[in-house]
Amino acid sequence: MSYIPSDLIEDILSRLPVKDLCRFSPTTKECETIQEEIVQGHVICELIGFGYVESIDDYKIVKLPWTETGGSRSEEVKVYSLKNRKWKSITSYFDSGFGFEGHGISAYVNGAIHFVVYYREDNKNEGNEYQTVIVAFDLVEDKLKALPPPDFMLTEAYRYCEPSAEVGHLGGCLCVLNQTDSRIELWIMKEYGVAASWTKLFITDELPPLCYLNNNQTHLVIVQPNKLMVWDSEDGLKQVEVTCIDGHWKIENLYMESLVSPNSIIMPSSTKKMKRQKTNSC
Amino acid sequence: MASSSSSSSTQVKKITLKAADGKHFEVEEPVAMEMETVKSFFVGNEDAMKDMVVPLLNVSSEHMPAILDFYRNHSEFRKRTPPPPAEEVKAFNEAFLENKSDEQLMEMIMAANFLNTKELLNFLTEAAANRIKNKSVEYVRAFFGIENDFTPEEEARIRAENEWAFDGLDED
Repeated sequence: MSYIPSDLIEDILSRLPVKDLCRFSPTTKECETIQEEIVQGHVICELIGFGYVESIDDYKIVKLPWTETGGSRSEEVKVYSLKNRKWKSITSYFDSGFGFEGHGISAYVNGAIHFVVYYREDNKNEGNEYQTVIVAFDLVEDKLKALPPPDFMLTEAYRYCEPSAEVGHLGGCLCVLNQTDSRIELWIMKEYGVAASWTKLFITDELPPLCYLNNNQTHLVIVQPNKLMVWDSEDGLKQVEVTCIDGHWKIENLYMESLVSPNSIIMPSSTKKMKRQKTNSC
Repeated sequence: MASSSSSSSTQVKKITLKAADGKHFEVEEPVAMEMETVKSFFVGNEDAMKDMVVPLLNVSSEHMPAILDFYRNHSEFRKRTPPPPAEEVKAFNEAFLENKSDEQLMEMIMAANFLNTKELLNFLTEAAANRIKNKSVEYVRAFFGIENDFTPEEEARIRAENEWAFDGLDED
C-alpha cells in the first residue's frame, strides 16, 4: 500500500473508542535516543523536565545541573530540542545561581516546565537563610522566569528551614505542595502567573501525593506501601482496594502517553504511540 | 422579451479536471467547486481561467468517477427541500462503500485529503475507523501496511499491560 500521511492515520484513530486504542498501542515501538549532554565539572544532582509544545510542535528536555564548579549552585540551563536535535546552554536568570533539593520534581503546565529552587544566603548571625522561588522555564521562548510564590513561601518561618515544597500539575493549573513536619498542604495557582489566585486546597497528615490525575474530576493519588488513596474535590480522600497484587508493593515510576511521535517532529512517519518517561521520586 | 435571458442560461458551466494518469473529466462547476483544491486554483482568476484544465496530481482516474458521484449526490441532498430522508442518504453511503477494498478506501482518503474536502474526508475516515473497530492488532497492521518490529517477548509483555483490551474482539 502507498505511504499514508500520519495526520490521516491520526484522523482515523481519533474516531475509535479507548479500548481499541489501548489494544493498538503495541503496534509500533518508535523511539528516539538522545545523546547525553556533557556538563563541565562533577554533577552533584540535577533537575530534569520534559514537555511537548503544540504551538512549536517540538519536544524539549530541560536540565538544571548542579555542579561543583558552579560553586555548589546551578548557573546554567541545558535545553534539548528534538526538532534541532541538539542541546544548547542558557545562562540562568539568577545572577548567582541557585540550589535545589536533590529529588527535585518538575511540573509541565502552560507551555513551561516548573521547578522549586532556592537561594541560600549565609547570614553570619542567624545561620542559613533561604529564599524559595518557583521558576518556570518557558519552552517556546527558552527563558527562565520567576513566578509569584504562594503566601507560605514568604513567611518568616520558611526562611530558616530548608525548603521542601514541590510543584505539580492539577487540572491545568500549577500547584505546590508544602510539607512541614506535621502536615501537608496543597496550594493551587488558579490563574497562571497571578499571585492573588494562589488558593489552599487541602491539608492532610498522610503522605504527599504520588501523582496528579487530570481527568474530568481532577484528583490525585497518594500511595503508601500497600495502600492507595485518591482525592477529589467532592469526596475528599478515600482508599482504593488493590486486590490483584499479593504481598508487599509500592509504585516506583510513572509515565504519560502521547500520540505525538518523536520521529514525526521532523518528518511525518507511520502510525505512532509513544510513551514518555517521567522521572519521579518515590 | 429581449430582457428575459434567464431561461437561456440553463447550460451549466463545466470545468475539466485532469487525473494523475492524464485522463480528463468534465465536471459541473458547482460540483468541482466543492473541492477546495480546485476552488483555490481559480481564486483571483475567475473568468479568464475557467477553460483551463485543472491538474489533480495525486488523484488517480480509477477513483474519480466514484468521488464525483459522491459530490453530485451529496450536493443534491443538501439543496433539496424538504431534506431527503436519512434512510436515503444512508443507503447511498452504504452503496458507495460496498465492494471497495481497504486499499481502495485508503487511496480515496488520500485523494479526498489532497482535494481538501471535509465532507468526503470525514465520511471516508469514519468508514476506515469502522473497518478497524474491534479488530485484532494483526488485522490493523495489515490494514495500514505496518511491519511488526517487536520481538514476540516484547509484544507479549506489552499485551499483558492492556490485557482487558484484547477481550471479545470481532473475527478478522
